[in-house]
Amino acid sequence: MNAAGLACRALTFERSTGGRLLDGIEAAFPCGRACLITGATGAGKSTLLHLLAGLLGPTSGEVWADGQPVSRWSAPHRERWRQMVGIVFQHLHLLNDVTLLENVLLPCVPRPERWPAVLGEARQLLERLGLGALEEVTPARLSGGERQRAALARALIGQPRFLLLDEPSAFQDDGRIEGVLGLLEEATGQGGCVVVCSHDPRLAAADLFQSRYRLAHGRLERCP
Amino acid sequence: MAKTLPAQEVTRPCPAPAPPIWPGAWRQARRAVIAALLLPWLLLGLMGLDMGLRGGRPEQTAARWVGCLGLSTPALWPAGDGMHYPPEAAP
Amino acid sequence: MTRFCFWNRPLIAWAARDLGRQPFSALLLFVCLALLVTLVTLVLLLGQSLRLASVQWAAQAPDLVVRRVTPGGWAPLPVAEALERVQTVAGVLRPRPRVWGVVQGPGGPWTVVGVDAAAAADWPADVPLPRAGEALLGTAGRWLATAQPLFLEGRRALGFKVVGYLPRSAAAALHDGVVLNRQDALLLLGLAGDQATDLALEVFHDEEAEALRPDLASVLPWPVTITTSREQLRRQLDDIDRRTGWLLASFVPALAAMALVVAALGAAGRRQRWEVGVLKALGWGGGDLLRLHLYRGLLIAGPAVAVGSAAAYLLLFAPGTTWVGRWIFGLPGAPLPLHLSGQSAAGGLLLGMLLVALPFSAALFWSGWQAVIQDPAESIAEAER
Repeated sequence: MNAAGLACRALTFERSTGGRLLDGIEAAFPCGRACLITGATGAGKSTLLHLLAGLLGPTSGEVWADGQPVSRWSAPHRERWRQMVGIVFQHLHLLNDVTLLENVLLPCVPRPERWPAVLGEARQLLERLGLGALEEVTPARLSGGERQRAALARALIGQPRFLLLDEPSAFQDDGRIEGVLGLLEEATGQGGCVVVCSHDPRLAAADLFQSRYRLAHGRLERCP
Repeated sequence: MAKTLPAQEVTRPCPAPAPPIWPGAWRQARRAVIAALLLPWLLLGLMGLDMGLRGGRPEQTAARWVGCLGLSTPALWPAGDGMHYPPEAAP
Repeated sequence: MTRFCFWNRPLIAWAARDLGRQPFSALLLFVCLALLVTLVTLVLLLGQSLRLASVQWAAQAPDLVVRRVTPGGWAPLPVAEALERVQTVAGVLRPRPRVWGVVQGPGGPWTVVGVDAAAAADWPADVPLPRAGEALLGTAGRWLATAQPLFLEGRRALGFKVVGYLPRSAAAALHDGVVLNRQDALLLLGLAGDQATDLALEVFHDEEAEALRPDLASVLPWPVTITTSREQLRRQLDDIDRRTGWLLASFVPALAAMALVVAALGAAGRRQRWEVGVLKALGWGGGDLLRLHLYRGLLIAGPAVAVGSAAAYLLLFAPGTTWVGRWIFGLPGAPLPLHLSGQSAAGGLLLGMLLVALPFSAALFWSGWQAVIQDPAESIAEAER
């Protein structure tokens, strides 16, 4: 249990309307590696990511982060856990009436100690994701792919220890996917724990992912 | 004949300007913050200054007239309630 | 471990940026707050300034006033006999007859005060002492041209030449007054030459005034009412307190409505809940959200409270407006040129600020707390549905 990274132990989640979505999931997502979770739509991939990000509490079982049972922590402690997590939502959840740069900076606004450095980092990330010229544009005026890359930049800012991405390539063309994968490789190279949920075959074919899982019928099975 | 510039006058490339530490839209927001922080102090300061400069004088003038005319604040009592001059006070 | 500091520059800048995203609701809140502070402070400042002025006027007013009464009302006082009798009472100083009354004039009732040569010693040099047939008008009569004769109707109707006006600074004491020559005042009020409206007296010490009442009543051969300046002052202060108290109480529903609006704007909207959920998912803590909420409130409330206080100050003291005195105390005529001592004004301003700022802060904290305890996953899921 002391391994660096995220781990699920007998993780179960039931919907409030009834029905078990995740059923006793056992998995380890170590730091320095990228893991891919595939599964059909509605299999519970997003719910699993929300559990790993501390947004949802499990019905039973536990989420461990760096050897700590974080899902058992009280709300204020879970906030500290969330500060170590960068997340891309399936629905992106960008603020549509502020600029891309502001969206990317949002996770770092409450942490003034890193402020000037983080602004440069945000610009660099946008540049690398092909959004450098669009930093003063609001997401409402961008394409789906651009919005998705902006959400990725927001997740990567501040170099979070745990990176949880939900369908990060859904709107990307092949050329852009390379750039996205490059950034994720850098994150794992820096000791980050990257968990990607996707049913994009292009990601399934990527060499980046050392661990692959398939989520079906509430169970997470390791793929060869 | 072309004039040669001395060495110190040769134009050198300027160093790149340091990137601003705030996003564009925030610069305006920061100006609004500074205005919001300064405005109350400015207004309170001006009021304080005005109070200091003019404080009390008109009342003293009115009080002098009260004494001069032998009034009993500000209506002539014992008739009236201080603010109004009741008709029944008329002889 | 990072040291906690309430002031976080990027967060403050974001709070201002956030307000700029909804400029109309921010402006609306600003205007509501400023208006409430203006009204509440106006009432408090006017009440305080009148209290202060009343105390100052009472110090200049006669310590005792003796008035002859009959079952039908008050009656003229025979001056010579009254003076002779009150002078027999030990402790009575400067007994002097006063001639005054209320008469009809242009635009309504006017308070007539009769003065004679005895007043000349203390009379201000820049204002003429009215002679026979002349009148000096209070500020309420400034609209009357000096070329126009002034017609007043008491027991008799008489016309007077307006020779000047009392200074504006005296308006608070005698705004609708007419100063006449004593003989003219007697004629107008229907009094004989040896009569007066009442008798004003002084005493050595204020405390003696009360003790002298039975002595004075016993030496005079008529029923009299005797009023001390303290008694009159108390009556006046009670009146001021009653009026300001009622007005302040009438603001309570407005303050409650403002608090509800603040709470509703801060916490209830679906968009706000979604945004709080996203921010929490991005690593914002409850403390960060609470601070953001407080910054937003302070950025609006700080300037609004200051602008409201300054507006109240200007409306009352410089240049002042007619409707303030009329609205609160029914004082007619020109704006009251009242002015406060610094200490008293500061107290009034502070109280006005607190009366509005406290419910506002409570509503702000409440809505901020709702953001702190909100479940991020639920609000994000709500937006996705």
